[in-house]
Amino acid sequence: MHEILDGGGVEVKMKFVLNGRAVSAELKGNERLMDLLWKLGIRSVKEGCSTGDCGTCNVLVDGRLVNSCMMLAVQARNKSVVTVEGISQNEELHPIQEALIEYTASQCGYCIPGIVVTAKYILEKYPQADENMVRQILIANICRCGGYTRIVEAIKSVIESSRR
Amino acid sequence: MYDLKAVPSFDVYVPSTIKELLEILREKHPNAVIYAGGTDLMPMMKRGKIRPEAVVDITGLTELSYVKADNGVYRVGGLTTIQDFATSPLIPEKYFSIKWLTKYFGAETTRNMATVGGNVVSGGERDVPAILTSLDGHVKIVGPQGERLDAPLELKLGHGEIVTELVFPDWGLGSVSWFSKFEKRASNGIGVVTAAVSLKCDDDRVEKARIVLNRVQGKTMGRLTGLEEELVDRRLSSFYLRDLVERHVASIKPAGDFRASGEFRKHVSKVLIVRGLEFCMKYLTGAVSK
Ligand code: FES
Ligand code: FES
Repeated sequence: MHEILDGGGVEVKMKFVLNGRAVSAELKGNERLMDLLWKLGIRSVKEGCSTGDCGTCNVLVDGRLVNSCMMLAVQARNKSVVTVEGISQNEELHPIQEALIEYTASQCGYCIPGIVVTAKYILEKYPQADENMVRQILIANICRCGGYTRIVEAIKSVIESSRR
Repeated sequence: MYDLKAVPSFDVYVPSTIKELLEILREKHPNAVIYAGGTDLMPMMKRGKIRPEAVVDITGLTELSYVKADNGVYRVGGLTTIQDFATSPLIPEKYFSIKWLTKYFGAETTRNMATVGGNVVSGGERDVPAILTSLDGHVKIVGPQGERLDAPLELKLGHGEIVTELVFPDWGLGSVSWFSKFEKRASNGIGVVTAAVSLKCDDDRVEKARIVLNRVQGKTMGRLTGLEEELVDRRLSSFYLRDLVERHVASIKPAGDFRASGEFRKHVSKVLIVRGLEFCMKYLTGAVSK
């Protein structure tokens, strides 16, 4: 793929893997990854700030935690994208989600998808993370309901039980 | 104040080699804006500060993402993310300034997206240019006229030019580098004062010092060359440090803004530099006695 032209509103095709399934999608050059995900029916990804400050749009791209509001959709070509829809499969909740419920960490819930994806990233990338580390990475996930303490406790409990 | 716009519509080019990229910039769209991590560009577009007609997504240029150490020189590809730069096993622990980017450069998401080349060219928070300057580093630029090197603080890109690499010499035995940022809010990595210090000693005598502040005159980043020179040949001791630093910081004139006044910045600059030098001394004398 050498170039994509979108000046005249032409849509281009792109292939990538979404939650483990190969997808081919039509998109315009100025679409953000977040916009494309919404078009494909992904509803967990939320737009909070649109400028990379709040973390409600966080997804994993090839295992890296990124803000889907800052990434152009074409930048995900040939990559693998994971959202909450891919973390809890077959209607079964992931232990992270179970813990968030157990600790009543979710209030309005708006920030929670971003938190779940971020927690998944911590579990995979930093399985030895202590509370400080968890807080350091969650620093850019804003929860307007202010549920931070319980969110951190919930994530800590998952890390601890995954170590056992 | 917070008036966000829709992302403007533009053509997107997706080259997969440097050659293709230069061709696009030369022939197809000389005014195209380069999109790497997007952590600066997207907010600027959302705030209506920039409306590109064309965008070149360079994340397909995988050849520009690397960290190499060869013959006493470190080379970092322009598309290397801040996270990969900071955590590269090829860069030894004593380059604390680089390692601590994981602590001072924005959030994990930002570090996973933002690139070293992008930070040198357009970064709002210019941590990489500060650190690179404190290590006597240079920026490699490729364009229609071929290749050239430029100092990170004087960098000006001409038409059709791109940053391809950061280069800095290994400081060798008896050296250490330090970086710190005094910020108002922990998560966004925007510093009231940032300072980078590198020190090389022969036994306990200073051979070379580099000291960089984010604001020396107005909003301009720069070195404190007077202080650097006065440190050379001195023996390491915190005894004279405070006075010496105070004397040199007295001549800087950092601009004030809504984050802090110029006076306050000046005070914090002094505190950070003393801290940096003390850290370097402790590290080096500890290492010497081992
Ligand atoms: S919407 Fe992406 S970080 Fe806030
Ligand atoms: S639960 Fe409401 S924003 Fe976090």
